[in-house]
Amino acid sequence: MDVVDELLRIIMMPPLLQVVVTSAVVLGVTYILMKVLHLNNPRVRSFYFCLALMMPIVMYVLFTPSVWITRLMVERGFAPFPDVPSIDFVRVVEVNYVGVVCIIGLIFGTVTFLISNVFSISIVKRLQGVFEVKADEEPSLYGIVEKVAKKMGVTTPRIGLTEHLQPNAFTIGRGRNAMVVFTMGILNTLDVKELEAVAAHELAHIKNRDFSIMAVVTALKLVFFYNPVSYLAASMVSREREYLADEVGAKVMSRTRQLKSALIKISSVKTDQRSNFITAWTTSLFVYSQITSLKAAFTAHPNLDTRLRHIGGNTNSRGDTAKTVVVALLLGSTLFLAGGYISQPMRLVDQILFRVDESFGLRLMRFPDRGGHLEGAVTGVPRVVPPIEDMMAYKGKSIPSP
Amino acid sequence: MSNDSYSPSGYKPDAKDLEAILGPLEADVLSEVYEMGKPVRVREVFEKMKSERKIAYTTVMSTMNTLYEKGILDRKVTEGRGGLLYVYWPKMSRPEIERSAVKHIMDSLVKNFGEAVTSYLVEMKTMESNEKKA
Repeated sequence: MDVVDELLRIIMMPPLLQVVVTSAVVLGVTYILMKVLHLNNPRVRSFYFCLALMMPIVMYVLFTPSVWITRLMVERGFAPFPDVPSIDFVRVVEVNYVGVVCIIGLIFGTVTFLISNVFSISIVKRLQGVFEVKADEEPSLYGIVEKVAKKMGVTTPRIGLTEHLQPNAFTIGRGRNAMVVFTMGILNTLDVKELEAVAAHELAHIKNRDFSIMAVVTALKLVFFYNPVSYLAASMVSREREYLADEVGAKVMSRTRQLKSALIKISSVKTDQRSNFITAWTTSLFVYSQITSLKAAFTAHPNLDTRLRHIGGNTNSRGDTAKTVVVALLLGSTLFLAGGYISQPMRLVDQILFRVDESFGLRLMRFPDRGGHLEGAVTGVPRVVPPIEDMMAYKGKSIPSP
Repeated sequence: MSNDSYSPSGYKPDAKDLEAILGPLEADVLSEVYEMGKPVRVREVFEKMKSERKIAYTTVMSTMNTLYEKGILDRKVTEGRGGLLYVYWPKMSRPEIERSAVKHIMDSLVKNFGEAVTSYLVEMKTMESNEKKA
């Protein structure tokens, strides 16, 4: 029960609640300003949710624990304030459960990010039974994709097929390595023009570099796997990238009507999808661009009605970049304002973040001014740095030559 | 013996084997399915045919679909890697399908040209017995 007690203690501490409230206020105010200032489109919103996902890091950077800075100063022998009592650290060998949880998240995120960048295509091919077809093996489908790629200004991707009955299409990998996969279900369900519209949607994902964006977002989601907000933010980023791909794809190929009819046809086909949970979950880690429309909450794809309303919207990538910068500035300035108003409680945040983010299984604690060992500390463990008064630089003495 | 039957929509006198009662691609796909001797996925037939000739997956897929619609192949939904897919198998054995096709063609010939067919069959039988005697 130690773990549960420790986590409950951390959760119930006022500073943590303040961090949560600050984040919520900052994100809320920024979102309202986005709406008021008409900065509200899928590309901008997807970056807004990326920033929301990175909120814990932003909070940490902005409110860096002062103890950490002091420690760096001491270790480097730089002491700008000689009157300040020296600070020393001991290692206290005691498991910090929060630190362990953070480390697990970090490992999960990093491993998933590396795997998705190196092995995602081969993993998805194996899990989903995807087989690659060359241009001369599937000339009509390749012709459709090539035509769309030329119009969109991207390299024609590799083409994969699966025998699944569920109409679906998705993209895996990035750049020249990218592969667009069509299921047998979608080839049977859609006509040529609708397939063109679907191909345009998938190629828009490649053009918008959604694989790279979503690989980072998924990794961050796993890093902060203990934070429910990260799941929501990650799924919102994915939805916004879907809207964007719908808009860009339909606009480039002038196939707005066909994309709409394709989505309606796809969503009307009901096959009993009984795929293995592990397979489905693993696939979701590496496939971010399935055309299928799902209605359940927390899924990466928006529901059909909302999606149909978005198709035909106007996007302008140059204008969107400027808008995204404005949103980032809004978010940052709101954060500083919020931080300024509650700066006093934020000092407490130092302590909790210090423990949560830096100790990683080891606690760093302030050494008592009067000297001696800290109560509860394991003695005999070497100190990280010598006491400050022993340092040559601090004493102003020249370092004797050997 | 199966109760299924196949009535071909046409008969091509100059064609060989199953091609006489089916399209050339349909005959090839059906021969492959018979050769494999087990319920097969479209991909398995495609991989086998690909090694012998230039063919698209979608072509094999639509041909097998046509054979299913004609009642020659049967299919069921099964769980494959990552999702549900079809497996196909022949409804009738090769001799059964040939016999069924011949029956329908002969029935039609007898119905339309009854006397001619009867006299031709008698003539054939007579020639056969003369050959045996000789």
